[in-house]
Amino acid sequence: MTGRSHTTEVLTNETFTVSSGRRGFRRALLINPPVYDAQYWARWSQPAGLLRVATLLKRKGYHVDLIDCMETDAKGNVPKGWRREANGTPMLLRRDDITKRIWHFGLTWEAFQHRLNSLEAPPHEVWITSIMTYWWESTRDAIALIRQTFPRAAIYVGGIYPTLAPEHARDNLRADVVFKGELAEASNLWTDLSLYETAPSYAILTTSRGCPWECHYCAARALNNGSNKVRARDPEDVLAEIEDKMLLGIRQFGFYEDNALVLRGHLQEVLELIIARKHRLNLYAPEGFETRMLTEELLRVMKKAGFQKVHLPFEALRWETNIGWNRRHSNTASFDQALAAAVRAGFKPRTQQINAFVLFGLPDEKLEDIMDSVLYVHHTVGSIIPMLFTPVPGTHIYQEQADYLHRERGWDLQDLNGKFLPFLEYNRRHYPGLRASDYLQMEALMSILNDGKFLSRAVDLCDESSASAAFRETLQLARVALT
Amino acid sequence: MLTDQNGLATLRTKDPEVKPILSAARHPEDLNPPDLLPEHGEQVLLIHPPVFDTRIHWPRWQQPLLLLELAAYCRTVGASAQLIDMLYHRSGVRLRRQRVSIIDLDGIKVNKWRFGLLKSALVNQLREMARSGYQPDKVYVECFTTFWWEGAAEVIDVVKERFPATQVILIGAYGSLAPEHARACTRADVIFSGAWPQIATLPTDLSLYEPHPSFAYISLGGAQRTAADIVDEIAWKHTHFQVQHFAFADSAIVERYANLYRSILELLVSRAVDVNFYALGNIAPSDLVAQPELAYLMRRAGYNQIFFSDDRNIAQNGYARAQLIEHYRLATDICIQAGFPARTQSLSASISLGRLGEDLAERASLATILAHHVGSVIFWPYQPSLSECPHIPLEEQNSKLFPLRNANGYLYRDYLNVMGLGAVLNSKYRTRTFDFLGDELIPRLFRDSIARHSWQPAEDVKGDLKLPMRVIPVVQR
Repeated sequence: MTGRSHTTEVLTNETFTVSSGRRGFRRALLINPPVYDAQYWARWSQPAGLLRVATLLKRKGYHVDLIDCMETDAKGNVPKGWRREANGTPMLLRRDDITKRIWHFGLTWEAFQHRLNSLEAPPHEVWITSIMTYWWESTRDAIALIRQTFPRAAIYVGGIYPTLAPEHARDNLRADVVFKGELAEASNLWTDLSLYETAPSYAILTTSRGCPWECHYCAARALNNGSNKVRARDPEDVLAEIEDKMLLGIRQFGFYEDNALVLRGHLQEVLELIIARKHRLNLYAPEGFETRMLTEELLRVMKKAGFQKVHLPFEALRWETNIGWNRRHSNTASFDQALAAAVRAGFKPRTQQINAFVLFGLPDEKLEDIMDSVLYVHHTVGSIIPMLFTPVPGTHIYQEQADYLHRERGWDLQDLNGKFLPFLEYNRRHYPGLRASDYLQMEALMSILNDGKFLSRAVDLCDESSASAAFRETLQLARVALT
Repeated sequence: MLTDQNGLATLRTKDPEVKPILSAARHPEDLNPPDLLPEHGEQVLLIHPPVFDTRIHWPRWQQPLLLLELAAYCRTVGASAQLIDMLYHRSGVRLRRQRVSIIDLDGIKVNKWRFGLLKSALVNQLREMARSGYQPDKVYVECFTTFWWEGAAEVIDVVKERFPATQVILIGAYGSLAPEHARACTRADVIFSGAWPQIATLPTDLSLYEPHPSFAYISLGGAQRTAADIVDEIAWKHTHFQVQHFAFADSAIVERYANLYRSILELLVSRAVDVNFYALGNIAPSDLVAQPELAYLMRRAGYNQIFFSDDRNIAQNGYARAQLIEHYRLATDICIQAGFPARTQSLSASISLGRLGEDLAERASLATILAHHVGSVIFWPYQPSLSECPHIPLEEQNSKLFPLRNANGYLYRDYLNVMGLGAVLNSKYRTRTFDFLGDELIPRLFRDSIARHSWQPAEDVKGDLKLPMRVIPVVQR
């Protein structure tokens, strides 16, 4: 693509072409912008899509520069400072009875400007990745700064946010191009980590895309252009990518997939190649696996290949809740089966080798059910990962609630951050006294149950020991007394 | 002062209830306490031995108070002192440990470690000293607690190998409480316990440490010292050694020295000495109920944390228990009003664990209730007296092994479970512990869920394993 327009175009893979030429014929600057949020987890947050685009652009002859504002230091931390209001005061988000400080994570704008000024030559094109839909404001601010610095450069924005909310991105970012969906040419390419001065300690792998299921809270279908097709890379190519990254000293890999196991045998094939090559790796899949597909055989292969942890999408205890989310392929019975298989395969419960997600913060949720889920996971697994729900454009729940969220509440996308509890007032229809601090306390409870470790194992308050029984009995006596 | 609990500094010979005991292993005929003190012109070596134990709690709080007072005494009489503190380690550096054995506790295997400077390092250090012409006239070895005797025995052996003619004097609780054992199991020339009035009122000498520790114990010297003297010591240590953290070493400080303690706090406040204090088990909740103004003074004087004294001396009956809970409730209210933040572990209730005749369910229940009132709770493993477990080897009388467990009809695992409950009750989210007995919605939901036994749901709640299989529409590579 050459030239730039004054108005923002929304383009897709079908309407967009990456130009090519002799080596260095154009300069592209790739940017992962800072993040405004109350919290940020730097682990596994590499801008993998942008780094695949880097590979593509290099192949097309571009000179590529990268500014990853979210690059971590040696300890894995991202710099953070206050996000400030226009008058300079620290930005605070007051939500019911809680107040959250809003941070600017990543390079400061001054440091970002300095990096822009330090480039060898101005770029012809600036490619920006924009990930979470509720982070769009920092993308907007990055674009303003880039436009000021490089007025002649064309600015392209891609990623999850523009894919899920292209009109919003078009109307708010002032980019030249909002790219919706996948850039097919880059989809299966390797991430280019050579652009980092210091090689990262880990790499993200995407070996397959697509999911046949359509859970009401999940955006995978929308991110795959409405398709339920599942596509996978050649396992040999995945292995080659791993070995290439091992040359940089990387031994930790995170699999980021829509549904890694639904294509039966695919992941296992990749892992068996790793085992056959006797690579000593630490593998992770922080987004979890479909429990129905986690067989003991696969889990043993995972363990042997270097998986350190297993993440299980428990989500909710009651099968009706799962059905209500159109999650027909998974329930607690299949979770139990996967958990038992994981334990037999050598993953230890109560040590964070096995972890389970519990979803909360959804509209119409039953808090009693969430608490039951928490206790169940506490007892069976010991490590609960709290997942506060964010209504993401493109999901069924978002579509159902868009009127409420935008028209009734008057919120924009940045307000829908799960951490800001977008369904707090909604859920007061069932729980009139519900406060924001109750959600915070629910999260606190999960964290405390995880951290309550003794001799490296999470204590089980629901086991048969006399201590736990006495604890429960004391709670019951208090309950009766209060009643 | 905490006595023999959790590896914290323990019984101090200056405590008035401890009767002087003088016991000579080699030359019993003409020794008396003053003869054992350093004398003018003498070279004195002070050694704090390594610790043999399954765990060592709060290693940086292990400071050999008696040795450091002896060091101060050396200055006053013109003797020269050198200190080898085998437990001393720089801040941020993990205390070195070596596994020495594996103990089987009712089927549970527990590692026993040797914590501290390596034996070979001590041997080398003494060799270097001897090579440079150093010949100590007296060597003092302080052993805090009876079940740590192995460290003292090891050190004394090493000293005796290098300096066979030097008089080795064992001081501290081990020799005091188990002199016969010490006589039989160590090569100390003298096993000494008792009060040295000459040193009781001296401030400890931290100058022998390099780098200087950030923590120091302060002793009231059996109330023989003045408040001004004590506050001067604190200010001096803060100014000259950059000591920031202090604890008073005296047990039951309010009960025994209320007036002096109050005067010290008032002076600290008026002089605005900017240091932090920690109460390590020498203040009872009832002290603050009886004298609530003390809590305000303590806070203003710089107290950061109060670990209340445990209930080992309180009768195991319902009335005493109810009174204890009420004292904790009131004391916590007072402390919070005085400015101690709630549920942040600035206040910790202490529960004795391991007494003869105890009911572990009662202990767990008490912990749950006290964690509700106070915010956090610590179990202090009960150290039985020698007479309570005469048939158990000294090193196995370690409170952390709960030596009376079988007599109580419990297994070691049962005690671990109670300690584990404490870990959950003290677990924090963003600096605050969770109140399982709180009135808010989430604790109520938690209790309701417990009542429903939700961790054991009926199978029909979980759903059917016969889940729909979906044909993958298109698969391409």
